[in-house]
Amino acid sequence: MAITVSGLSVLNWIDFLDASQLAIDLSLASHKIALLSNAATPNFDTMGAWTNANEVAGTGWPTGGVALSAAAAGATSTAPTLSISPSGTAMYDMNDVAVSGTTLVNARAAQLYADALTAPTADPIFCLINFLADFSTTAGVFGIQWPTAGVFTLDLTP
Amino acid sequence: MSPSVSERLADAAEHYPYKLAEVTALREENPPAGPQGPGDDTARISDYISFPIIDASAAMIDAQGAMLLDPTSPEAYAAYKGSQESLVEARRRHRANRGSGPNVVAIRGAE
Repeated sequence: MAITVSGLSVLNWIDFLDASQLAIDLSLASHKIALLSNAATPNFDTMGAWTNANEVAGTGWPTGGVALSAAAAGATSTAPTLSISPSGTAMYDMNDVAVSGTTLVNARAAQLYADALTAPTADPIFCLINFLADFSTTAGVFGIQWPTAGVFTLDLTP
Repeated sequence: MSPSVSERLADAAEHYPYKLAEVTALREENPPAGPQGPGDDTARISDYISFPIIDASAAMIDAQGAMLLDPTSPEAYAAYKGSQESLVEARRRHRANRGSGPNVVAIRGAE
């Protein structure tokens, strides 16, 4: 099996919006970005709590990932935003990720999860970004340059 | 549950205040920022962040903190939303020539 697409956790997004009251706040910089290898087999319907299964970590990029508050250049905040872009569409975005001094092997995807939440689901995953290939670093910067459409968009007027 | 306002503003894992001076100095230096060590200039800091993004990030984070402290204030809310729009615009200008997917800046590993 392998990672073939990017997506949002359907299970958790339903819990964000229904009586489960899984209280996601996408503006939090305490959310973390963790890396996955292509051995992962994500199921967006059942993707709940983040675990370290198939995680890629190493020097400069700890187990559990990097907080968004320190994942941009100079260990600064990626300053997450949620805005209308374009009309009818909610865009979740952040500054480019640029974590220096990393040694990582074969990162295939990134998972974003709410590290601060503990109930009803601890560390709920809200997004998986497929890199489409394996990427490695050697004592260098692991960078993700987001596209003009941001990290992900929700088309609310399809 | 989400953290309270005081918890969030005091949380070491959050972003208050933004490291404006530090990242501005880094951007002014604009050192190599490639995946293969400190001397790898296949990318530079300027590929990841611009001065307008830095300034807009600081403004947004300040406005966000002020809005959290006074959530019933229409002025604080408007300032926060406006600062977000400015940051979004700064990012858009910086990314003008990018494609439709994320670009991972690192050496590809073995397939």
